[in-house]
Amino acid sequence: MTCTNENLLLLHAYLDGELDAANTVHFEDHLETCALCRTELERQREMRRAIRGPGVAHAAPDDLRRRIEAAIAAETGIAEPAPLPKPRSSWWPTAGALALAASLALFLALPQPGPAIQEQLVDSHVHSLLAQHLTDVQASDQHTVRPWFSGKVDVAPPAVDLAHEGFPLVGGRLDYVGNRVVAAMVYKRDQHVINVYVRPASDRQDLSPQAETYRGYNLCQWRQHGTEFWAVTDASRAELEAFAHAYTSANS
Amino acid sequence: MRAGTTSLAGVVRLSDTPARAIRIRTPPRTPAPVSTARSAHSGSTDPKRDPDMDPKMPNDEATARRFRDAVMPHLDDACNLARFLTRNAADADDIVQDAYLRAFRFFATFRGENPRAWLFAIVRNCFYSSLKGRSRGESLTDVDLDSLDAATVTSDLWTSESDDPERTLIKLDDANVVRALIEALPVPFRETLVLREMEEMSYQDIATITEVPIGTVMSRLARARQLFKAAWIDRQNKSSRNKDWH
Repeated sequence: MTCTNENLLLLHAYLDGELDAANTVHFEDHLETCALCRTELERQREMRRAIRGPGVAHAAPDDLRRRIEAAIAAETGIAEPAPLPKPRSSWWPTAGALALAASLALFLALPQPGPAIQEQLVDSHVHSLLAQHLTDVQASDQHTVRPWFSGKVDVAPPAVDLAHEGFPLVGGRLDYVGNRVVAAMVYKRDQHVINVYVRPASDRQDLSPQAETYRGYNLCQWRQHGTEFWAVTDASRAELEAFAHAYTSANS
Repeated sequence: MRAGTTSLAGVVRLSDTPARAIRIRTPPRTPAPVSTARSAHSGSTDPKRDPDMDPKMPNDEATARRFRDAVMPHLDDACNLARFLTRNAADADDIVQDAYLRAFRFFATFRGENPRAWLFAIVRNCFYSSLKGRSRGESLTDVDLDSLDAATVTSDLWTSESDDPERTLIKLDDANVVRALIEALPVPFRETLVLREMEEMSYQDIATITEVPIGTVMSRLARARQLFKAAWIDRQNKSSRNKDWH
């Protein structure tokens, strides 16, 4: 049971503080005499408390905030604006597409489109430094790190000891890049972290290290023995290339 | 209940109550160039109206700083709106990212005083753009808004034969019930309710953002609240009946 339609609309406008002074006085007079409207107003206030209660509003996920910040930084002060980083849908399929992609991936080696993988790798690298989640297993000994990965990822990272070349192993962790769980090996060069991501190669052909710069980070890709490697670091490009050279030599 | 019409003086005449006009606290309409979100609705630099327009206009550091100060603080609110529009976290993220980039590219030409309302309008527009050319999802036209009742709105949620009875509303906590009930509303009601109750926008701002007269905002809000309330009471009744059975 409610009062007239008009009074109901007045009630909502009153609840929202949208009535002007004259109508506020008029409606408060009406409330004095109308039990239906008083009850309705109380109900509506109860609904409002429920809607504004804890746990109802959604907040922005951290990775979205980072993506937007990065995109703004990329667009700032550049004479030729960088290509608009595509919204995630173009390279991070939604649930249905993900399931489809996963089933197709059994038969096909799907090529990764353009900058997508670099974007994810740099995000992952930055996140590993920010979130105090650099390593899941801490060890300077590859014989500890490698077995830890077995059963967790489909390609275990090779045992490569580069301490003598100035790249001590710090540990390893599981990460999520290119829509799959991958192994990340963590090396250091002085105070710089080098994340090495390891996943099955879509192309069986070996590839010598190819360095590039993305969003101010240095990346290097290579393929060996049917496995694809991506190293990401804030160390210099020369240091990264030295690392990749040492790694491929030790792994050949 | 039919949509009302707005006269210039901010007097809302409701079509079913022609005898009296409800006068609400509408600020006098200022000329377009200096009004709040209105300015974003005129001219060629409107990101809402020209979704494909891509001004090759680099933003300098100062603009980026102003953008961070004026627009970044509303990211949670933008996500909240997008989340209730899309009802899906991944789609909401895409829409918000798209909206922010669009907002950033047009920010240098933004002259309004209410960047939050402006941002919401862009988020909403990105949502509607994303619906086009998509076969699944929201149907905006074949819902008869006038004849809806709470039972229709929540019928999907209540289906006891659903594959996973654990997920019926009875088992959810209050916050998730509120979310589910809001999500069950047709999008014109849903967006009006979210903009008013969660984002706390004024009627005038909601009218601008959703591109309808204030009278329509008022009637949609009343309808949305009525449906929400009915569904809420329905849930409470069903919960207590459920307890009786077990």
